Amino acid sequence: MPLNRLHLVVDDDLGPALWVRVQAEGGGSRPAADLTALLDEAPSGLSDALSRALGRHEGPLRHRVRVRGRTSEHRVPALPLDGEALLDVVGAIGDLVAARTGAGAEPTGPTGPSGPTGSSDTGSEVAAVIGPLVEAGTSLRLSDQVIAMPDLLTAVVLDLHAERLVAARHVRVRILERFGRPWARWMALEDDAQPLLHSIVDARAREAFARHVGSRRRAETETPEDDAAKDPTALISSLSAPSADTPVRADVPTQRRMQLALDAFIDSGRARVHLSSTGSELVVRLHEPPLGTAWPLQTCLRDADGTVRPVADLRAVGDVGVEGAAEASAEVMRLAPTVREAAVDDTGVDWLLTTAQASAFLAHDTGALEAAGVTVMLPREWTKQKTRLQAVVGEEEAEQEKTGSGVGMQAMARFDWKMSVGDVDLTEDEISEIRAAQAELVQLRGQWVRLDSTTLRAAERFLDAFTAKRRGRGDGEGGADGGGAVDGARRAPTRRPDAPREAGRPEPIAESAGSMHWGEMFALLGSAQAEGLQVRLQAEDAAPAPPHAGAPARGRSNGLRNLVPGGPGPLPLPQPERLDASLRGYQLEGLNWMWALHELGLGGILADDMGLGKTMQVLALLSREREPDPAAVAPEVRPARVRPRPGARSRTHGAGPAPGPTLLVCPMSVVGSWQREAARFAPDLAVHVHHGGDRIRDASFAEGAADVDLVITTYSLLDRDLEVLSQVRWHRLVLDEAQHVKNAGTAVAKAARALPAPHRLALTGTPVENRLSDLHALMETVNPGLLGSAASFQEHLAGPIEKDGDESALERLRALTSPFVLRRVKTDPSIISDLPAKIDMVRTVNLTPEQAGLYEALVGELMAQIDGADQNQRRTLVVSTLTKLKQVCNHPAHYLGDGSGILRDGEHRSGKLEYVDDLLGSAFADGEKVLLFTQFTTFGHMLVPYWRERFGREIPFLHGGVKKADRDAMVARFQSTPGEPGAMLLSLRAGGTGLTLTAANHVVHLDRWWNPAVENQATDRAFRIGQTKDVQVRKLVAAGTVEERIDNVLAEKQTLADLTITPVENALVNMDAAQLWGMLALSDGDAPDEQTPNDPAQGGGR
Amino acid sequence: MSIRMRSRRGQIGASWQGAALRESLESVISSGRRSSGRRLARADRVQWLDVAPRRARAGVLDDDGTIYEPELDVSAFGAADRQIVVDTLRAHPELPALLSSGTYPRAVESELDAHMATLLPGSASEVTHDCTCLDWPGPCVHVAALAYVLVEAIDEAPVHLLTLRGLTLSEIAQPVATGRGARALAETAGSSDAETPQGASAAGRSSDGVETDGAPTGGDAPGAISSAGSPSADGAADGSAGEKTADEETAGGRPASFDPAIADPTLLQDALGEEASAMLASFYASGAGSTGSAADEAAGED
Repeated sequence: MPLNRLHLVVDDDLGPALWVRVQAEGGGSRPAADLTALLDEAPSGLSDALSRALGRHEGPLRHRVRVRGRTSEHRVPALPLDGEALLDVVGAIGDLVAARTGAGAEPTGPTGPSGPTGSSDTGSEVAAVIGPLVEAGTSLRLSDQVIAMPDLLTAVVLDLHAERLVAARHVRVRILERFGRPWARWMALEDDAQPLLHSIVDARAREAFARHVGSRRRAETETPEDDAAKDPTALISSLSAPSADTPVRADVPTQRRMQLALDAFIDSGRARVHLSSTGSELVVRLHEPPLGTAWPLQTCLRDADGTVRPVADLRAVGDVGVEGAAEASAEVMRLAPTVREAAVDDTGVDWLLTTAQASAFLAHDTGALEAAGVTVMLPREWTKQKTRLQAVVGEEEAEQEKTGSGVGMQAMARFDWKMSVGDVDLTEDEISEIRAAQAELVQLRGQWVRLDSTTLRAAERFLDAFTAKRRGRGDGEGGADGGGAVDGARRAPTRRPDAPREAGRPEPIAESAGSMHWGEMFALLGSAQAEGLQVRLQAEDAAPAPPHAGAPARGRSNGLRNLVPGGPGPLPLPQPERLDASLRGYQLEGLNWMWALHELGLGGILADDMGLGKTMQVLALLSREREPDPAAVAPEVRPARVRPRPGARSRTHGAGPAPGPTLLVCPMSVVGSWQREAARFAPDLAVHVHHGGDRIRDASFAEGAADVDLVITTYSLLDRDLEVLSQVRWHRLVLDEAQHVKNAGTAVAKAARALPAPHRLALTGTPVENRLSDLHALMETVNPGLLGSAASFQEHLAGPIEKDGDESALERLRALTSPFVLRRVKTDPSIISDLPAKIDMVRTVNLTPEQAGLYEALVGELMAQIDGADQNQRRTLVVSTLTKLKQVCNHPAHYLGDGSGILRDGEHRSGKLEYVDDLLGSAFADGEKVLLFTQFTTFGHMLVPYWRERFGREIPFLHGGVKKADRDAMVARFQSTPGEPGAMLLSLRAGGTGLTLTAANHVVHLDRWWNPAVENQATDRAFRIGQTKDVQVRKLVAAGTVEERIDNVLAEKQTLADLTITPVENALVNMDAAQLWGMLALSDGDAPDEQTPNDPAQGGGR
Repeated sequence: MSIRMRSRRGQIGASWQGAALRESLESVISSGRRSSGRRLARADRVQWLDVAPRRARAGVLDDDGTIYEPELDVSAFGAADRQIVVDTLRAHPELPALLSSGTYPRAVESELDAHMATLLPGSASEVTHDCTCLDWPGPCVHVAALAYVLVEAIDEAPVHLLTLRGLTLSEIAQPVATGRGARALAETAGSSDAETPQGASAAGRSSDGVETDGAPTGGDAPGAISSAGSPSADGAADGSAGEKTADEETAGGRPASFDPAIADPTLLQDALGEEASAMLASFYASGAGSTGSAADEAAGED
């Protein structure tokens, strides 16, 4: 009997196929051409399986497969096994092995294609037996005539593996083309698995999928026609057919799409793979050169948890394939042209940039990358370093002597420009290097620095303009000034700011030093040529001057340079002897500052906080200029060139040459206060009040005015009597509470600008009440032209600061204004050490149910009306509703205007008033006085009779309708009884400024004006010089209402200090309905407790 | 859905490699067929283009209203040539990214040329053609139209040249190793974790949808150019898994383990249709790992 060796191969074309080598009697062997004979000889299980497989291929074997022999490749007859047959045969072999080796139960006979092969127990035992055989390459004799060769035994092991894979669904679908037709097959997940495993997996998965499909479809009782309709591509049929003989119906692009979807599905099931070149966020990371000048630039991906990983590393561990890595890197190249030219390192996805490339990358490519959603990561310390110009300012005295050039703005000053980057002052060489490199990245003192190109170009542009302006003057001063060395030949050609320069050869810096009129410098700083410039003016002599009066001040004069930050400050002069008061240190400083400006023929804004004694400082100034020699203590420093002002003239009054009269303009409410303070502290001054119906309006006024020192008038008269006032040769114009001229277009402001006076001062506690244009208007009044036209100021300075928070513009504004604005704040401990504390409190008060009901109704009404209202109607609606809401918060009767009582059945109708009553009660008990501010006169009129009745006390009410004399009387009476209980009610508008009411140590803001500057001014009636007690300030807001919300907003804004504050109403008008609702709606959390025993009647009402 | 040609007049092939490919393909097409093919291509009659290993195919809507499917087949490199090409290309680590970004450096082609090799299918002996139309022996107008569309695809995505030669990016990429290049340098500098993102970029990368070197992700992908050039589809699509090189198997690394329970079946819906995707999803969901499924299968067996 011949010996049959059974082999299993996987043919490229046929797939799995069985072939048999028959051992002939004589010892030779040949491939069997016909397997019929084997059927009789094989063990029964195998025989059955073979006959089923052969059933479709009767007679001699018609297929040939390639088999690698010892020496060459043969083609041998073989029996192709489709999926069913493959499982059949392999199962039979497995059973035989189990039987032969005694593993598991006895042979179970043929296993049909519909049942799994053996139990898993048997399977593992079979594996335990066959495994070593397969590894050793040993065959196994199944019967006397039949031997299973190692390749067939391998199939048994693979089958066990495939069974597990399919059960766990660790399989994937591939759409393939075979002989021009697409079909679908199952495969093991691992592409590089043995082909035989893929075949067995395919067969087993077909079985399992067919069962699955069968059970689903049977459950749904559908017909085959329906199935076909639902499976237009026949994918289900193709995957569930017993053999791979059912094609997929899809054209090539559809096949690709299906494959992509199937692959994506499998990938989504891989726990670790979250990264792909298209699904993850791309990141590029630039590193500083570890050595030399090669800047590593890495392509990275950010995974789901935010970690940034280099693509090169991801590729190394297989999380990203070569395509993904290449695609990520390619995307960077597409977006960043610089990178295309750069050297790729050996990872193939990262680059090494030269310094020039790194600069170009930062300058030109990062924008496009970020616009495309690619994150650019730089070393942390690489914030852009701004370039700053700093001028060291020196006075050009020698030249002034020579040329007789003027003082003040007309004086020449010498500006030595220094350029710094970040905190580093650059040397000339470094400046040249930076300008030559024209790169974003420069190495400065061993550190790589990223330059901010905007400020660098601004600095270059400014220096060019500085040079051009000097040359444009053509005054041939080259030899005279110290900057002559850089003058002349090295003129920078005009060019576009961003035009590339010739590399390598530094262009000479335009001019780093030179002289210029102050006026020109200020004009330059405020012009478009300074746009984006970070600049600081610093006086040359930075040694601080001894602050106390009378110190020797040799060799110095009151040049404008002194007033520049870092400068020595104004000449220290003693306190005027004629002043009947002792000036505080800061007041003397303020006096000297005004004196210096006066000498320079310049105006200024004294912007000290309320209560610091601006009045006193002005009175001191007037006193000083009436002394025999105003600078008597240090006569040697009096520069000869300071001549008496044009308005000065000899006068018999006093000992010295008296200057002309000063016109003081103030609000009506403080005229009396000026009068009193002048009389008290500067009794020598002849004061005239130009006010009232009986004032002098004819020509005699000019004569009379010339004989007095101080004429006090009001803003309304400044405009009305401008003609009369203009006839006087004023020595000085002083505007108290100068915010009255902050609107440049008003008649008052125009009159203030029109009135001729060589020396002009503005006094205000709030130089910027709302917008920077306020400051422009003030400055235009005292120093016309300094800040340029209103339009240019808005464009180059105010706009950038207010809209963009542009720091460089703010810096330029400071450089421009700092010599002319003196502002000291009370909270500065060095200014005031003896002023008692101010305790600021916001008191949140609950609404009563009655108030809450009214409030909610009003908000609801507004929200209903505002829908569809146009912008104007909107504004009207919002503003009027706001007013009504404030009234409701004050008191229901205030809003209703129905004359109803303050109390109802003895109970309070307003939470605020209940609180205020308590406060007044305890203050009176302690013998203290209270100031109460409201913006509503009607409300005040309701309160006075109520309090009269409640406390038996007449509470004066100062408002716009009270005559000046009565106001003065009210104030005098109030101030005359310190230590006695009392209160004064003031309307915010009439009583908020100018008055001194230091007898009170409580301030209550009954309702809110929503402008902290205005409110603080009002508060300062009590909190000012003369106050001896701590001042308690209470601002009342109703809980849960718009009052409270706006107060929160303002609390933040207060930190903006002198910067702009958009009016609250504007902000509200511009809100959309939802925002508005959020701002206005009464929030429940703060609504009054309905169960308060105070109000049982309305307990369940709402 | 058809492919829109960028070229409206004059020569087709904006890149040097596109022009070179056009010249060699045109050399075997008669001038009449060329101009007809150009007309079809420019009339956006090419419905789709598929670039698979050693084969490019297209669907071309003829004037008779039929969509014919021409194909161009590129002969495989001999084993020795293949080795030379792979070795030469591997010497350029930047090449995969360059090809992906649309650049095939001439210098690389010159290096190949020095070895008498080229990525560009050159002569008639290297390229054969076929079509489902009856114009035999061809090359027919459909093949010509395919050629022109292919040329523009090569302009944008020279990586197709690799695919046509039966190569993949993985094969020409250097085997990876960590701790080299920029990464290593950066770590030397010790600055790798001191950085700050410049600006926020909440959005992921914008997908412009014209990544013709990847396959389209949906039916709406402009150009409708698909590709079987990915390594996963490569061997199997060709029906000859035996051709895979050892390099390819090692280069990609081992993928993470698969858990059918977390696979996202919604990914299947668009491409496979409602029924097939639901069937597959439920099949995967009923794996041995999930308890509910065993009952399902048992029910199916009785």
